[in-house]
Amino acid sequence: MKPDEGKTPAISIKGLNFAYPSVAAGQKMVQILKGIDLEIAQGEFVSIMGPTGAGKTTLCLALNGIIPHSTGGRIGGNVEIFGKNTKEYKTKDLAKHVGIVFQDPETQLFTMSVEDEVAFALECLSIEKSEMEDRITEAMRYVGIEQLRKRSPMHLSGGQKQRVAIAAILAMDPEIIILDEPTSGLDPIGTREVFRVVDELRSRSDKTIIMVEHESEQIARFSDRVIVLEDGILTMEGSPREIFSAVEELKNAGVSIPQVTELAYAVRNSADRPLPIILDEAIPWFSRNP
Amino acid sequence: MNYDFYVAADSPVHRMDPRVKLAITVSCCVIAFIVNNIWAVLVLLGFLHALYLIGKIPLKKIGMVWKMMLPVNIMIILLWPVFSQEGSMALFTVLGRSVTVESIVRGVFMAARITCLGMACFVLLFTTDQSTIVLGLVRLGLPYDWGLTFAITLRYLPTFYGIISMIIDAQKARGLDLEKGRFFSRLKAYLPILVSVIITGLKASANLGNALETRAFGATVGKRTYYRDLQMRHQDYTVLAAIILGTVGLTFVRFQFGFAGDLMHLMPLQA
Amino acid sequence: MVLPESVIETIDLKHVYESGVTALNGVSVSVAKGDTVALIGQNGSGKTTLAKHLIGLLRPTAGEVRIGGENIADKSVAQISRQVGFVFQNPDHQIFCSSVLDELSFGLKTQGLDKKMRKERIDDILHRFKLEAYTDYPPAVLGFGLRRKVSLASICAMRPDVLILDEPTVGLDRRSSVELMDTVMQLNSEGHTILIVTHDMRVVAEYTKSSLILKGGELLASGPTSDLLMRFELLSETQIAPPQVVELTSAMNLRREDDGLPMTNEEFIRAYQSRKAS
Repeated sequence: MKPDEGKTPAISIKGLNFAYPSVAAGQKMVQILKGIDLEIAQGEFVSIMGPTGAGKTTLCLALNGIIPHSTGGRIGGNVEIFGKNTKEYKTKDLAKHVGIVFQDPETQLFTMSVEDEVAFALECLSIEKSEMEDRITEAMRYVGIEQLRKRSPMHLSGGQKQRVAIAAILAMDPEIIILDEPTSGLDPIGTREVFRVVDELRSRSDKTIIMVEHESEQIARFSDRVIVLEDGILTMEGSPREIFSAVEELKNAGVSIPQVTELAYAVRNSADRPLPIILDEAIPWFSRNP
Repeated sequence: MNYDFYVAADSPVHRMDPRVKLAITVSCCVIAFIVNNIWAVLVLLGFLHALYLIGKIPLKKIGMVWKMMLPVNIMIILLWPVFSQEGSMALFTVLGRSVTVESIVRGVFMAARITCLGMACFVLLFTTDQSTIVLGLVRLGLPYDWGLTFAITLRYLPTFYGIISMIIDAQKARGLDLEKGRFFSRLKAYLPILVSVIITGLKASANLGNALETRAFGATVGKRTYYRDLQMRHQDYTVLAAIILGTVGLTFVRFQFGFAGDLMHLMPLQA
Repeated sequence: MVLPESVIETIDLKHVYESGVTALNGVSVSVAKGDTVALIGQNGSGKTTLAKHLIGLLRPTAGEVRIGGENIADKSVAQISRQVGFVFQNPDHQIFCSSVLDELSFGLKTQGLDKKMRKERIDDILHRFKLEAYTDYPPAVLGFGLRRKVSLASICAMRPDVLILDEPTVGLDRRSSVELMDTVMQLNSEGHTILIVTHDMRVVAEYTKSSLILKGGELLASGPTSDLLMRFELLSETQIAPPQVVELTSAMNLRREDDGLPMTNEEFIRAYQSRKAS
């Protein structure tokens, strides 16, 4: 989907800098984000790639005001969520608009039953009980965890835990959902469960979604746009096909490329021929490669 | 070991209002302190176990509480007779101090009293899930933030123990020997573990803080709503009344008539 | 035929947890000296339980674990750790010193090496892992990729015969995981046996010669990785997706010269080009 010119962008980032005193560097300020400009339209699915330590998580945290409100550090430039500057709104007020699903399931599930987990934010937002019931049931159904309602999140599988975390965010019905490496450390079954929900969100909701991922194969399937962060700088931006076709640049950046794209790049005869980025495209591509 | 306290079950104790259960816990603690008699605390201990059984708490869980109380109990039972010089029926001497029947009984009594306190707390923890406890406390006037802090502490206790045992494993794998040497060198060997636990804990708590904020914690304008309801039923009022009457009555006979005031004799001895 | 000397052997290994859950139900595996082995399976399949037995962190309910031909039942973890190095998934659990240098020398001190030997080993390991610039840094404040390296390096410095890596590439970007795995393979070429517990099927295909597949506490299959990755029905039984290159080669019916399935980029490219040429 192309950014819709008429609408207010969901996210508008202008000249975002962020520096944080680093213990490793003897309390000197370390620049983590360096002049990020980025606009994300309502309903867009944007994936963020980049090597470990490039500032991906920092960027996510800047989108709901955790940075700089809760972390300290020095921020420059502006982040606007539907035209609201995050400097003027606290995280708790932005929470209704921006939900983040974090990487570590253990620290983001802090109650003792799945339904309490999903109810927590609704209670904070003073939602009436009758409405709460509907929202909780709906969110659980969406991610397929209704049968786990009374269970303790502690004893669920990794994939189930992350789906509980997604449901807890969905119940708030935020316009923007951020997934920060939601499948890191999950087993293949859990990864599949989470991506199934992500796919559902992408295709059946009008939510704006930002996903930080290493799995290029999933990024290729889902994204409207991919951005690459390297050392705090936004170095590449484009459609998945544009981004993954730049094989050499991505290799230099140290990020993963769909394996089929790597292979096609290595054997193609003409630089003009577009590269496949998903498996289904790859099979005919290789059969027809002159 | 499993550090998850709540036992999901349907029992009369589970159905009880958390405030009533809190009253039971508090009353049992009060009684354990005011009575000064071995038989009385043993009866109290029996009562608490009866509550566990009614609450369908598996024997394994009850055993877990005993296991937790065991080190303290052993210390008290072993040391009390040596240091307390009560009574005159000397049995033998240790470290030049005579050990009397009374002091042994006193040791057992003190241990049983401490065990009662622990057991009383677990009546609440075993049969009430975290959010209901918090809700109960909040309804009793505790600020929500405090309640949440308490709940999160309970929630992460098992996780924390899990992390510690994982760290111990990870460091044993680096050749860290925790069984070698005398007490102090062993204690020193645990230092690296403490460092890793603190680092992991700090990172986890920062993440937890972010997660809480993301879930609109602190965004409440006006009153927080609650997904769960607390409703005192007739039975709850009945139990509550019985507890209050019982505790007040016992306090009265204890101090007015000296009931259960003597270590070994339930009824006051005529002077 | 001379059987290769097995450095790890489990005989009918059974483990039942205190909770009553049977995590391993009669697993017999054998790992040849110098091999690179992937231990594959979903969470709950018993792979971590199996791995922990190999260094004595868990003890068998029944059965036996032999390292270098010896039953380890009577050895402490500290003793076994001289032969078997175990790198945990979360580096934070395994690092605790105030500098990278101390971190690397910790295990060497417990091994009782003298100062000169320690320095030699440390210089070697700093060089291998490209950690020279960080010797005085407290490991805890380094970035995730570096912490992972430090925890791996601190184990490797002890030069264990067998190196067990639990999910070494999780959370790492492509470059870092390739770099890390190349260092590990360098160690392998010097004679260390490598066992990798992983879900990353690209790592399995590119770096391991043999694989063990666990399911529900039992050994579902074992053998050369290239054979196992061809058996799609076996993989789907464990719900493991092979890397894209394997799906691609099997869809295109490409074969290596030795009739095996191309599993890496290089093998694919060679097979593809030789087909085009013919």
